[in-house]
Amino acid sequence: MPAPTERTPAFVLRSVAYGEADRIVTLLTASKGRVSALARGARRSRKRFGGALEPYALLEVELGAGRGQLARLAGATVTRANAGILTSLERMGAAGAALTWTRELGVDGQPDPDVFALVHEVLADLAAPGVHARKRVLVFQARLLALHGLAPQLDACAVSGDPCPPGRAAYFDPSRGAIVRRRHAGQGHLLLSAPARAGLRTALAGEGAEEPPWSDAVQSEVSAVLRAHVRAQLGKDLGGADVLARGGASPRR
Amino acid sequence: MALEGPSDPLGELVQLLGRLPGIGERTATRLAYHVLAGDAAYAGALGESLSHIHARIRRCEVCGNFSAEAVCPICRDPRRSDDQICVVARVPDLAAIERSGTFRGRYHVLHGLLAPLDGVGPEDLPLDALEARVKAHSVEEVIVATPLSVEGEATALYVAEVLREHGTPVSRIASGVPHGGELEYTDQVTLGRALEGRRRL
Repeated sequence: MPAPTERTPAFVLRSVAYGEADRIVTLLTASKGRVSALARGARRSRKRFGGALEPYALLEVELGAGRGQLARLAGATVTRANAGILTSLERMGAAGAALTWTRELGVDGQPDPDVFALVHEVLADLAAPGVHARKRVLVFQARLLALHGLAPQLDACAVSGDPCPPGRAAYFDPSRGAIVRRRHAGQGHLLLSAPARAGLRTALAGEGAEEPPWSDAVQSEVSAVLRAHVRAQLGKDLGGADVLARGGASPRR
Repeated sequence: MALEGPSDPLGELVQLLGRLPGIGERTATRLAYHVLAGDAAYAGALGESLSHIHARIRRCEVCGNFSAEAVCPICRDPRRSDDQICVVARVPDLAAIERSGTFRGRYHVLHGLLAPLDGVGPEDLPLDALEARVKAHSVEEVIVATPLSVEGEATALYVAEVLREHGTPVSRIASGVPHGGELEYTDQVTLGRALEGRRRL
């Protein structure tokens, strides 16, 4: 009798070569959350998986029990290829950042329909014509943090508790994950202009457009704050959408 | 396999052999016993060869291929054309193209690929060296023969973008149904790419 398997929609978050012919894939699945699975023979034969173990595509995977914490990937088919992402470096970098943040912020075995839907939406948008990839992924990153309960606090000073009125610039202190009054701003604080603060608050609340009318300067501020915040929270740099850009900020360096 | 604890030469050999690709513990054990049971001179020659391999073989200063000389035989070969450079991710890919016997230009080995999910960016690969080669010589075409994967595509797009500034034509190897392949058994991604990359007859 064949070992029982379960089918579920999934995205590949990482794929690492293992042994001579296998792959270990980290998946974001709809039914089990983040799962690591062994795909036997995935590098030698394309019969079972075809090109399905590449990132960015929405898959239907078949998972079975494996050894220890590693599940067994029995099969995978592409449901939606999101091939438009492969048409530009900017889109690939943005989609790569979206999946890296999803992988690093996720927890094994804890399904979250909202996170799954958020990833589904951002990849579909990044594959669509005319998308502004950088803005789209910044909104995604903000909402992902909010869904994980890790949103930076932008309403009041973390030290004094004084509220910061809307429309005002503020200092963001990554070590506190919050804005602070100027006199409390320590080393490594970032200036968050009024438009950047307002835009980020809207994105965190999930209320604004998927591609807000942010200037390049606002995008850079939002990106710097989100990246510094996550670095302080996780103790490592997850990189940004510019990993594939010339002179881009690779987290490896 | 541990026979005698920490000072266990046979267990150590099994462990080292088991780190080679495609070698499990059982095969490693068989190989270790084979070496032990055989001629001591062979074991010595094998050990000698392994211990000096990194000193004897280096990366070609021009293309990055593995070579016993500072410049590899392919880069030294005057019969090969300087007009084309084929960009590959790894030396085994270069060897595969050489086996096909269809390319007589030069190579550039990246020893990796851009990997957006692993934070590998352009500064982590010898892409500046490729740009310098193209700038220094009148290269008529750069062929990007990286794998047909997300990482391979990202690398190909980056190479095309960088070399566009120099007006150098960049082409990508074709992808699709393999020679002798049946459409019925071709996966949907490959078939989709084959249709996208169709050519007029």
